[in-house]
Amino acid sequence: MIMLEGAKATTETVYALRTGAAVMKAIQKAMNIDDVDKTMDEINEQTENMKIQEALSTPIGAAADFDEDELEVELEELEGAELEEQLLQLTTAPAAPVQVPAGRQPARPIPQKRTVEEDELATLQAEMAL
Amino acid sequence: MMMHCLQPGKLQSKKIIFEDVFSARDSATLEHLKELSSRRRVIEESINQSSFITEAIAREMSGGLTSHCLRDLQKLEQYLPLLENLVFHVDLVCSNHHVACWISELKIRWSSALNSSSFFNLRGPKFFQIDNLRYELGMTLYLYAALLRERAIEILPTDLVKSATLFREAAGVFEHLAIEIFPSLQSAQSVERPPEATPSICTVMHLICLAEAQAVTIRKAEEKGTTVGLLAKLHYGIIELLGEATAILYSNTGECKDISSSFLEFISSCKALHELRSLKYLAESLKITEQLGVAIGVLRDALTNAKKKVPGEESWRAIFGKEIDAAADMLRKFEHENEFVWHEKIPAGDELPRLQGNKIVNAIPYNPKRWERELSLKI
Repeated sequence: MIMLEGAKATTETVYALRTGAAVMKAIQKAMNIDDVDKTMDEINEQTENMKIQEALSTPIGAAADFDEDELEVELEELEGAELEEQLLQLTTAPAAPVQVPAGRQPARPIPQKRTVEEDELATLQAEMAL
Repeated sequence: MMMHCLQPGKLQSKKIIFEDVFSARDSATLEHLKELSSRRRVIEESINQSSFITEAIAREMSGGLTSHCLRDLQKLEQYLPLLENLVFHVDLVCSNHHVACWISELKIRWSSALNSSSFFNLRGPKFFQIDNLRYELGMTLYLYAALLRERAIEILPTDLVKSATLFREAAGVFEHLAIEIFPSLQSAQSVERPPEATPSICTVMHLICLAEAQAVTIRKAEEKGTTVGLLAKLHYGIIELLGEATAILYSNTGECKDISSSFLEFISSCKALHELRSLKYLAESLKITEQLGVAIGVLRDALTNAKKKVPGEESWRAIFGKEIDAAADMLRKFEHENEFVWHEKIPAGDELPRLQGNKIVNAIPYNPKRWERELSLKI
């Protein structure tokens, strides 16, 4: 009985292996080495094109000497200084009507960070329906 | 725990029968006058405690309301629109001699709950008569506001939001009385009036109700574990509100003379209690920011002041005592820690930080309702 069971298992295993091999053969047949070569050539060609585009986007002349990160930091500093100047003008100058030129949108107010206390207060007021 | 004083709502009034005094030209007007009298009678019987209706019947008549306070509020909400309508029509013909006579024949009389002589009169409360329909309207509204406040106290243990809302509604009614009703009464009459019928006392009650609404809000904040810095400011906001009330009471307008000492003690004790709580929270926040020496100075100063202001009334004294014990415990722990670890200098007097208050509640404005029915009087 045990020998019969073992023979059956061996047969099933061999059958599975044979089927798998046949499927692999069929897949391999569909793939031609020439097609693979052709596909690889096309990929390499496209990679070359990307290198050309990258080369064209590189800054030339004086701009090539600038570091982008440094430029970002400098821009932030300039914006901060401009804002300080505006706030100073608002607090010292007498109130005057502000004329917004037609077609231009008014400047957005700068959002201020709320403290924990202010948040707690707002939540409490909401919960107590105040 | 909050201290409560239900004294302001203990008003009484003498009977008024409108149809015996005003002459109606038509049946609709007569019906209106009779209904006014009927609605007023149930209010009189309730506040004078002269009703023979049992609790069960009273509950059935009110549609199942178990709270005495709610039943009285319901009665007032049925009476006030009718009274507003009568006042409106009488104002249209107020210069008529007949109308002036009718109003004096009504004998509008109300007692005072805040007058000091009410406590010592063994023959019952003193009644004040003013021959002006606005007096009737004003005192009825005062009673309404006092009952709203009483209801707020009643439901405080179970519904903080509703309680705070009722305090704010009461504050709105008192504000309406101070601004719209009693100022016009003031110019017309020079007879003795109860303190309740003055703009000053109505403003005081308005401030007390706002302080109580803020105290309820603080309770909610404490349950939620709000930061101690904010709690200190909220308690100090109550002190500022009660401070304004005290300033009015002790001002020289003459309207606030002869106010009961119990009512005055209630306001000063509440102020002292919230000052102690505010400073206790301030000390906690100073400890958190590693200013233990300053925290000790604040607590010592707070306890010294609080011990001078312990109220006489038993229930208030218990609440006050508990708060003093808690502050004293905190002070002991801080002093122990400072003695063994930090050795920080302990400031006193002017070196101590000053608090700023935060008042976050406002009154809910009262909108009078009038039953718009045409009245025709035989003048």
